Amino acid sequence: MWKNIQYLQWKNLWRSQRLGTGIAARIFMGFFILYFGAIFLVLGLFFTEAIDESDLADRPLFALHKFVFYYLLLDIVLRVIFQEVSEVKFRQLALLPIRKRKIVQYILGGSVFSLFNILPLVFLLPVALSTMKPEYGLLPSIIWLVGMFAVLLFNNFLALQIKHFISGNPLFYVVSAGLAGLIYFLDSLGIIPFSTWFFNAFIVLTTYLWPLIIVLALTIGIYYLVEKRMLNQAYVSGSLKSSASLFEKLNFSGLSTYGFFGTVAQLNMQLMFRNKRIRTQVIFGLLFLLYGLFLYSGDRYGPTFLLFWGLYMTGIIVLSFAQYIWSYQGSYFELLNTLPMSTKQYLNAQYTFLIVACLVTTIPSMLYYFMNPDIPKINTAAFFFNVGVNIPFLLMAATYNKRKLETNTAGTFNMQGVNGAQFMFIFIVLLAPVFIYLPFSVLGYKDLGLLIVGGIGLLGLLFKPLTIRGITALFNEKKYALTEGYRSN
Amino acid sequence: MIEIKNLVKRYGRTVATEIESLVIHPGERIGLVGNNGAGKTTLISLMLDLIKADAGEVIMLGDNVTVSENWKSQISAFLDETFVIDYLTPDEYFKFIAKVRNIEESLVEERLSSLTQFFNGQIRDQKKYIRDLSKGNKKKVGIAGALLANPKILFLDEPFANLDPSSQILLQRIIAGQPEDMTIFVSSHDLTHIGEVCKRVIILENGKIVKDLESNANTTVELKSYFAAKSDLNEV
Repeated sequence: MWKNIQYLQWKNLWRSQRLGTGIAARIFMGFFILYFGAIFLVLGLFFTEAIDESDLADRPLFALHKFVFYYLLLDIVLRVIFQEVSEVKFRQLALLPIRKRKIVQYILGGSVFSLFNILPLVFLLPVALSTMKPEYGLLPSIIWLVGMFAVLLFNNFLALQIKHFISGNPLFYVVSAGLAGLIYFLDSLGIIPFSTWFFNAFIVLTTYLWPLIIVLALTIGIYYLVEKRMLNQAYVSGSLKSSASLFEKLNFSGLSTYGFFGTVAQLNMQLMFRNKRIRTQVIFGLLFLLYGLFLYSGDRYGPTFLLFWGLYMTGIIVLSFAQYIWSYQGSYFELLNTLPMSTKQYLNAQYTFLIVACLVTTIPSMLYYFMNPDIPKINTAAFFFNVGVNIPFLLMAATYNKRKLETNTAGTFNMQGVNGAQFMFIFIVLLAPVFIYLPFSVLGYKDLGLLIVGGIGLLGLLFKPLTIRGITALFNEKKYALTEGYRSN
Repeated sequence: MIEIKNLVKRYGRTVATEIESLVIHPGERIGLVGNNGAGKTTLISLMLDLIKADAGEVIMLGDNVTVSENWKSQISAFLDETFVIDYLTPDEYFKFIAKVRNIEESLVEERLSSLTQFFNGQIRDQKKYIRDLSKGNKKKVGIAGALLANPKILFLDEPFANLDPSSQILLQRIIAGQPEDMTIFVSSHDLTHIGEVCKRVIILENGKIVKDLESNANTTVELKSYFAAKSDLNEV
């Protein structure tokens, strides 16, 4: 029986739509995994060297455990938001003569092979050898590694359990992120030294076995809790989605007062928040706004890179929405085409919506002024370029996306319907202004460069009626191909 | 009202539509019948400018459909699930349609309440998204959305399929009860329904009009014998 189930899982993995059919999508995924894998590997191999300049340089083992502890905190939050266990699988198997317990075990067993568990191993394995082994010897290091992996698995199943209880309610995402933040805060200020406890517990592990037994017992315990819960609701109806989450219940009716624009904007917001895939992308993008806390600290990056980052930050929503504006709506594309609204009027409304979306991320990004006083300048230029050039460019690119995107299937790393051209468009959009800016910044005319980048954007905005007319003409030419494309897949 | 001239659509070598001339007058109730692949949906899609014709033109309310967009305010259509927005609740969907079409709220209520029986308590005031409804109920939402517009011309592709028997009868009555000057285009496999609802029946075969008849008491029987004869032929 296991063999059959494994066969299914294997096919499922390789034929999964999420992997994407395009080579580019696979390459992108490959790079993504390689990039983080490489970072983890190098960090693992050279951990002592990496912390050379921090104030914990003389206590590498403590630093290691502090780092792992913070990672685990982040890990649980990320898992709660992004990790998914397919309950559809259960429906496929429910009527076959396989014991329910087996199916549940198979589903849960599958979750062990997620990137969340494998990537950290790429760090933990070398770090056990490079940092733990010289101090404690081989066997204790292995036991330490087993203990760490058990904690990861504990997180794995805990996240599934938490996820079940909050059933997609975004308020709880905020709460769990806040809780993790609070623990981090209490620890880093030394009010409650969680990481020291964590350190002590794992150091004991190298001499005594009983902490390992406790960790393993906890992991097995939480596994049984999850298994029991899933067995209890292992009925097809139980795994069907019952109620909409809070996010999905928002209907954004406030927008409807703004005439036609309001109607389009309201539909866009509903599209964004009621479809798992788009919602995950947008939330993920917004979380990336916080990446600035890391990027802007110190003077690591030159102005050209900051402009690149500024373009990304001010355009997060535009980048993940504008060029899919038709393919996201592929499932009702024919309705849009028979309703009495002109393409021009519709595109105008979408343009305005995207400008507002840019503002939504640009304004909070200005707060980075407190970390680097150049940011408001850079991001303003980036904002204008996004609004004046990138929006119309991506709206134009959208008319070439003939594949309908499955909007409500799994969110994270979903590559269905994505192909190389779309990545290329994103690169063009982010790199073109950087290349315009580069010579000015090299020659030392940084402000002039920003002025020119922003100026081009402003010019684009002034010519908006013209660009809209162009996109309308292009759309009217391409709409038949789009209809056919969305119909056939 | 609608005028089709020398309309041709091919997919590779297969002819999907080839119609020399077809004129539809205001208030006509037209039934489009034919086997799978006869080109019913293609013809409707061509009329709605969803597919580009290889030759010929469709004149709707005086405008060539590919040139003007004015006709869109006068027509409404429900072809299949691509005409509903699946992440909205039915009520939100109706509201969206009403807003885009500038229909007053009181009129929306009036028109929807005339469909109460058809909805059978499963459409309005539901907290479910359309994607979570059954096939039949999705269809009801789409049909209601099209009726909401109170258009001059209404297009329905296979509206009876997936509906339960009571709903099919109700839908027949609803279509029959529309204002007399509304032109209605219905395609269906189901000959009985077409015979009940339509006064003019067009039979398509390989994209061509093979029969265009006025319907009377015997229409259903006639249609049935036509298609029965066809299948006998195919067997030989």
